[in-house]
Order: sequence, then C-alpha cells, then structure tokens
Amino acid sequence: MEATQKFKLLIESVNRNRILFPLLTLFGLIIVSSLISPYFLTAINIKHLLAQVSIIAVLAAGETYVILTGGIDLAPGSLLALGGAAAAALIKWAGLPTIIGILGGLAIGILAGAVNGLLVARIRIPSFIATLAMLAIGRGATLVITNGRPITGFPHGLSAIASYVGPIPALIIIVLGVYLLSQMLLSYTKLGRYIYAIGGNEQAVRFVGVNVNRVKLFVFIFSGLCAALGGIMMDARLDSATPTAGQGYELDAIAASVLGGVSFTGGVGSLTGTFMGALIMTILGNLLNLLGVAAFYQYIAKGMILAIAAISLSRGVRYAK
Amino acid sequence: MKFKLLISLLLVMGLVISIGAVGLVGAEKPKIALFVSTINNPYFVTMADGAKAAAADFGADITVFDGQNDSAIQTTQVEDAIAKGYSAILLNPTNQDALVPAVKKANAAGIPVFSVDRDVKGGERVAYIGTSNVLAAKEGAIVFLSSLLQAKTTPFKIVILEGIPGASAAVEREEGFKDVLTPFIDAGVIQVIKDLTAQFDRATGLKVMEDILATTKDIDGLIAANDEMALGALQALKAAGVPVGVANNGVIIMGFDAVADAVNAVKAGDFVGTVAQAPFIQGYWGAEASILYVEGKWSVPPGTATYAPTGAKFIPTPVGIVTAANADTITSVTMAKPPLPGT
Repeated sequence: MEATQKFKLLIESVNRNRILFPLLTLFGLIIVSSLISPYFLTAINIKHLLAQVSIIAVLAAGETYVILTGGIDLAPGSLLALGGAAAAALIKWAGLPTIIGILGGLAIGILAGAVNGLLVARIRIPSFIATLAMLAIGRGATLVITNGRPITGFPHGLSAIASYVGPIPALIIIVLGVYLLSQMLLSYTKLGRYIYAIGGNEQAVRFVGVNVNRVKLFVFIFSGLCAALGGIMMDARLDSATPTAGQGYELDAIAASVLGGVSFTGGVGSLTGTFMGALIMTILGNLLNLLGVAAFYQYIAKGMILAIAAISLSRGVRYAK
Repeated sequence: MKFKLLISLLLVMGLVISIGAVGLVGAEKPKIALFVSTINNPYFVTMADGAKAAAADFGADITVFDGQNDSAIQTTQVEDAIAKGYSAILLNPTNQDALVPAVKKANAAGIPVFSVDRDVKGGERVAYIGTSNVLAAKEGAIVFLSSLLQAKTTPFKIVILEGIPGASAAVEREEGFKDVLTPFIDAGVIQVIKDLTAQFDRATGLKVMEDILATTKDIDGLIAANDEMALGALQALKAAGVPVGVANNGVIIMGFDAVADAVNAVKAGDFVGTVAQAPFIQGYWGAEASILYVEGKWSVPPGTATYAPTGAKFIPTPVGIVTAANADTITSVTMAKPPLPGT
C-alpha cells in the first residue's frame, strides 16, 4: 500500500513538470531503436549521438527560456552561423588568439540577442516578427563576414572543443554544464521564477512591480549567447565556419522544446524536458540513417513522430495554466 | 501647387528626352542583359565575370541583374529589360518553368534569348549554353570508379551522399552517378552500403557519415553530389580514425563543384577528385554568342545536338575533373577562353 502510494507521488511529481511524456517517448524510442538496429547501442554510435545532440541541445536551451516567457525566437539558426563566422574570422583572418576569437563570437551573439530583447521588451514588437527580422539580418551579416565562402582550418585550440575526453565528447560536457547552470537559475533564483511567471500571466507580474522588460531582455540575450556558443561548437566540429550553417535549426530547437513538454503559451516546462526533446529528435534521425531509410520517407517519419508527441503532450494543457 | 506641377512636368520631360538620347547613342554597341539566378553564390559571380570579360573583348555593354533566387523578381527584371530595349538576353533562370512567360515576352518583342547554365522549358531560345549535370556527374563517377579499380579490391563497398531531395541539381547528379554505377552494382562489383541524403550541407554530411560509421568502418569509396557533404563526411572519417586517400590505402572520396576547400582536400590527398563545371566559360561563351549573333556574325552551328530535357539547341561547356595531377593548374582550364563552337 505504502509502495503504491510512493509510486503515485513520484508519477505525480514527474507529471507536474511535464516530463512524463518526453521520458516515456525517449525510453520507448531507445528500446525500439535497439531492437530494430543492432548498431544502435554500440559504443561508437552512442559517442556520435552525444556529439550530434550537443549543438541542437544548446540552441534549444536558449529557445526554452524564450518560450517559457511566452515568446518565440526564430533567430538561433542565423545567430549560430553569425557567432561561428565571427569567431572564425577573428581567429583565422585577424590572427587573434583562439580564446579572444571565441569570446568575440559569443559577444556578437549577446549583442544580437540584446537587440532582439530590446525590440520585443521596449518597442513591443511581437517576438515572432522581431526575431524573424534578426533571422534575415544575422544570415546577411554572416554572408558579409565570410564573403559567402567557408572559413576553414583552425588552430588546435578551437578544434579541441570537438575532441573526446576518453570516450565522452567534450561538446556534451559543455552542454551539460550549460543545462546544469541554466536549470539551477530557473529553479533556484528569483529571475527563474519571474521567467515562469511572465509566461503564466505577464500583466500580473507587472502589477507586482517586477521589471518585466529586463527579464525579457535577459532571455533573448541568453538565447543569442546559446546560439553563438552553438556556432563555435559547430566551427570546432566541422573545422570550418560555413555561411549556410544552422539554416532551419531554429525549428529543430523549437521542436525539441515542444517535444520536451515546454508549453507554447509559456509558463510551463523545464530544461530537463527540453534536453530529452533534443535527444528524441537526434535519435530519430540517427535511427533512420542506421536503417538506411531513403530521404523522402525520413521527412514523413520525422513529421509523424513530432505530431504524435505533440498530440500526447497537448492533453491536459488546459489545466496546466 | 501649379509651380510644383510645372517642375515635375519639366523633370519628367527631361527624363524622357535623356532616355531617348541614351537609346540613340547606345544603338552603336550591342547592349546585353545578363540575368543570374543569385549573386549570393560564388559560382554565379564567376559566371558574371566571364560574361563581362567577353563584353570587354567583343566591345559590348553588359548589365548584370541579380534575381535573388526569386522567380517573381527575375520575371520583373526581364520585363523591365525588354522595355529598355536590350539587344539580347542572357538568362540563367531561377526556375525552368516560372521564367517561360518572361522568355515568351522577349520573343514577342523580337529580342533573342540565350539560356546559360540552366535552361527553361518553353519559349524560343537561340541556344542553351551550359553543362548538363547528368554528363558532369557521369564524368565524376567514371574517375571515381577507375580510382577504385586501381586502389581497391572488389567488391567495392561505397557510400553515396545525395543532395536536397527534389532539387534539380540533386536529381540530375544522382541520375549521372547511377548511369555509370548501376551496371557495376547489378554485377556485384560495387556494393552500396548506404545511399542517403546530406542536404548539400557540410554539417549534415558529418552527421550522416557518423551514423554510417556506426554500422561499418569497412568503406572503400564515397561519392557525393556536392563538395560540402563530402567535406563534412571527411571530417567524420578523420575523427573516427578511418584512413582516407589513395596514399593511405583509405577511403576514396569524390566531390563535386570544385569549391576552394575541396581543391585543397585534393591537394592534400584526402579527395581523389572533384568535378569542376566552368561558370567562367559559360558566362564568356554566353556573352560572346549573343553579341556575335546580334551583329549577324554567329549562328548555332549546323549539327548541334538538342538538349533532350528541354528541347533547346545545346552547346555544352567543358567539364574538368580536379585531381592531384592538375589541382595546381586547374584555374588555367576553368578560367580559360576556349573557342566558342561555330566561330
């Protein structure tokens, strides 16, 4: 009797954070994958999977912050390219030390995120429009910096980011660090509670005297920073910065958040869920490639999984808010 | 109010007169309009350079219009050019169907149209000057196959990386590869381990190759529909410690497009080759043919073949394969000005 009581409580706590469905989907997918492909649970595949999930996961962390406040950020894909290109140009063309190049790339991400934040918070442009503009500007700026051509071949310091610590990719260690810090910020600080609260009821939060604009500015800066970090990770992984990098990644980041149980209307969700969402997306693509499924059917399979997951998540949303 | 009206009338009249004057003065030199699908891709920048070089060599004026990969924009540009009375139109269409009405309008105005690099599916074109992706892919596949024959033992285990599903370049290049490789696949000489898309993208090429490497590291060759995917795959192979290149008895990699990074990979011995189409020659021949045609000094040579997919008279530009033997001198081939057929 007591055991079932405890189990019920556990399920309830998991459910309250909306990570029950992502968790079930993730485990279901892992079980199915290991059953239908003998290559899925091999050391090399897991190693590759962890490296692959890193970049999308780091973008999704920023995206989750924005969605939690009830906004949306369409710029991460472009800002990934911009941050990556800026860092690459500083290192390769300006001949600056690797660390300065990385900081420069991150600074560009913060700057672009701040512009997004100001447009949304101060000038009150809907985030969909403001970040759509930044999507175009970021891509254009990347083309200007790179002159439309890839920047290739970096010193060892940068490519070390994509190396392996024993069997574990350094990339995933960075990402787990980002998730740990940002989940702690969400869970244990005032700022974190404001982020949830704004997504729940912005007007009420304003009335209490919280500086909502500053919180919104913060989430967009954080998203820009995450995107630029993703760009630098991409530079390291490819040993080059390509002007077309990250095209469409903002949609993957949004999908990862939604699959992870983050409510599109804001206020509900967690980074733990988002990380699972990113894993679900990556594993699905990996499995389809392991099986050698032709491209045409891959699109359909991915869309169907996303739709099914969204349907299961949408149940109960009415009561969540 | 009346004063303002007078001023604007005067301005409009001045404009009309000056346009007329420019038209009269310009009647001496042929005026050629080149419409490129986008200037955002180095390939078309080089094409425009070729056309400008020909205009300088043959004494014509050339204007380059950037269609921004948007058929509506390009159609408007062509319509404007018809109104301005250009002597000939060089069209690198954004889309083979959507630009047909624009070509028909030029036909109605009596302006000759030449298509460059890509053709349109209707309207009258004097000639289509370009490279068939199918033929270029065939040449690449042949070099790939002969490299395998020299360096590896049968059956050859290969990976094919395809472009964006449904994109015309991807479809045509796949067709060219398959034309050459299918008989060998059927005979069991070639074993295709995986045939997947990597979206013409470097990061996707890396990811797809990582996924493939989880299933096997026993790979003899990799042929990709563009260099970006092959470069991403190269990164994955290197990270997994799989040897590449003939010298290391590693994976034989064949790219497509001869972008700078790929030519460097050929020089380093990582790629066995990459297919080089010749945008400079396409631009040069396109401009040369249209200028000489307008002056009555050139016409499509008799016996010129028809390009089957669209039905235009087809003047193929040379295709080069960049290999270790010519990687240092390839620009002397791709940036050359070989004689235009029929001159």
